Amino acid sequence: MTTTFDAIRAIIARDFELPPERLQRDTPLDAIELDSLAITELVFAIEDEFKITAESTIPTFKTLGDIADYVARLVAERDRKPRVATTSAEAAPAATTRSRPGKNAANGADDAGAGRKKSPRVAKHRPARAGKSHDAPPRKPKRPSGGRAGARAR
Amino acid sequence: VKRVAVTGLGVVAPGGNDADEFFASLVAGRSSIGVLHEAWTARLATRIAARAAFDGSAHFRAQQLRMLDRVSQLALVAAKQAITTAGIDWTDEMRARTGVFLGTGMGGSATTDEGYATLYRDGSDRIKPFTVLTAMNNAAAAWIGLEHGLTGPNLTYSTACSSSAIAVGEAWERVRAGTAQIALAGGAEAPLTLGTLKAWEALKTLATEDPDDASASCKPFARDRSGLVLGEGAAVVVLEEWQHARRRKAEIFGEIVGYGLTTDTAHITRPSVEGQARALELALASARAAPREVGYINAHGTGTAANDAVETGAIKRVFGARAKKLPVSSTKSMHGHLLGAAGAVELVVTLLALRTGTLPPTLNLRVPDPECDLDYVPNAARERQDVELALTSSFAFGGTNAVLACKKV
Repeated sequence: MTTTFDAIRAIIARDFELPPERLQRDTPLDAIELDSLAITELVFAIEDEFKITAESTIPTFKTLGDIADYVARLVAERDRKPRVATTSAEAAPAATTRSRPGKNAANGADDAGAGRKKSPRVAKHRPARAGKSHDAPPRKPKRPSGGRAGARAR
Repeated sequence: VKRVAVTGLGVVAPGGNDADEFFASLVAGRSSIGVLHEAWTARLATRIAARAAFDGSAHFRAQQLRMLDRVSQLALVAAKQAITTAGIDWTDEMRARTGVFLGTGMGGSATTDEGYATLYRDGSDRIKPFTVLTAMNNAAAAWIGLEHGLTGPNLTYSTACSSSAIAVGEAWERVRAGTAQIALAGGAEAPLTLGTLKAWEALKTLATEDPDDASASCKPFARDRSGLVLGEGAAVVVLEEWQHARRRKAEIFGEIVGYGLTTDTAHITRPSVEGQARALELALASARAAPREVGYINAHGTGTAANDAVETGAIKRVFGARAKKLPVSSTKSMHGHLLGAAGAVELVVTLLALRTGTLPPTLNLRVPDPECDLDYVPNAARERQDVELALTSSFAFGGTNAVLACKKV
C-alpha cells in the first residue's frame, strides 16, 4: 500500500535523479535544491499522476510533506466534486473537468482512486509509465546528487 | 579603438563536431546533406537537409534536457568548445567584462512545434511547463551565460539568415570600443522540424532533390541550382581584446578587422546588388583595407536563383575587373544553410581558410551560369593560398546585410 507521499517521492526520485532515501516528509526543498521552476515541473508531473489540477498559483512549500499534504487535499476535493456533475461536464468547476491526458488510474496512489473520470486522450508528450507500481524500487539515479534545474554542459 | 583577436572556436555542424573536423570535411569536399528519415518527413515535398551528428543526451542529463531545446544544446556545446580552445581561466572580474552575443532565426522551434502539436493535434491542454523558457529566442544565449557565469551583456540577435554575422559584428564593436573585454559570439539554429520545414517548403525556396545524388542537391552559383537546403548547428567564437589575449599568452586563431552592415528596403526577400555591395564596402572601410587586399570571400551563396546572381553582381561592383580573379566559395553546398547560425559557422570557415591557406570549394558546380561568372573554387579545395584578408557575407530575409572582414595572424 503506497501513500500520496510515496508516490510523490517516486516522481521526484525519477525526474530529479535523487536517491529516494534522501526524500523524507520533513526534507526541506532547499536541501534537495528544488527551486521554484523545479516545483512547477514537479507539480505538472503530479497533476498527470494524480489526475488533479493545481491551483493557478501554487502555494509556497517548505518541505516534501507540504507538497504531499497539498496533493492529498486536491485529490480529496477532486473525489468529492465529480458527483455533482453527473450529466454535464460544464456543470462542474473547470478545475475538475478539464480534460487531461495520461495513463489510467491503476497506478495511482491508494488515496487517488475513486470517482475518477477516465480521460479519452493519452498524453503523447510524456513517457508512459503505466503498470509501474510505487512499491517497485525507483529507477536508479544516474548521479548521486545534483538536482539543480540549471543546465550544465559536460 | 582596440584590436580584436579570435582566441576560441566552437562548432557543432553538419560535417563536424569541432572546428577542425568541420573544416577538414569541407576541404575534403564532403557534403553532409542527405535525406531525412524520420517518419514525419513523409509529409515533406523534399526530404533533404543537413543534420549535425549531435545527440544531446551525450552532453546533458535528462533533467537538463527537459529545459533545453536542441538549439540551446547545440549552442551550449559550441560555446563550451570555444571557451576550452581559448583556454580561459575565469576570474570574477573577467566574467563581469564578458558578454554573450548570439544569433538565431527560429529559436526553440522544436519546442514551439511540440507545444502546438500537443495543443492542436492532440487536443490536449497539457502544454509542458517549460515551453516558454525552452522556446524563447534568447534561451540559448541565456544558458551560455548561466553555464559560465558571464555577467556582462547577454544579447540575442534575430535577423534571419544574418543573425549570427550580426551577433559577431556587434560583439566585435563592443570589444573594439573596450566596453567588453571578451565576447562569446556566434549563433545556433535547429530548424529541422516538421513545422519549420513545411513553412520553408511553402516559400518555394528549398532545393529539389538531386535525382542522382541527394547530397548534391545544393548547387550554389550553378545554372542548375534549385534553392537552398536547410541545416542545423551552432558556432561560437571567443573574441578578445588583443592585449588581453597577448598578456595571457592565448593562441590567436585570427583577427576580425571589419564589419559592414546595411539594410535593403526594396523587398522583404529579394536581395539587391546595391545593399550587398555597400555592406562589402563598409566592411572594407571599417577594416581600413582596399579591395585589392582581399584574397578570399566566403559567400552567402545559398543556391537560390536570386541570391547567387545578385551576390555575384555585388562582388563585381565592389571589386571591378579584379572580381573574376578573386576566389569566392559557398560552403553551404556541403553544410546547408544554417540560417541564424550560418554567419558564425562561415566565419569559422573563413578564419580557418586564412589560417591554413586552404580555400574550401563550392561543391556541385558543374553547369556554369552566365550570370555567375566568378572564380567559385569549383568542386575541389585550393591549397597553399597565401591570403591575408578575407570577407564572409550573410544576407538575410528582411534585408539585413552583414559582412565580416578577417585577417590572418
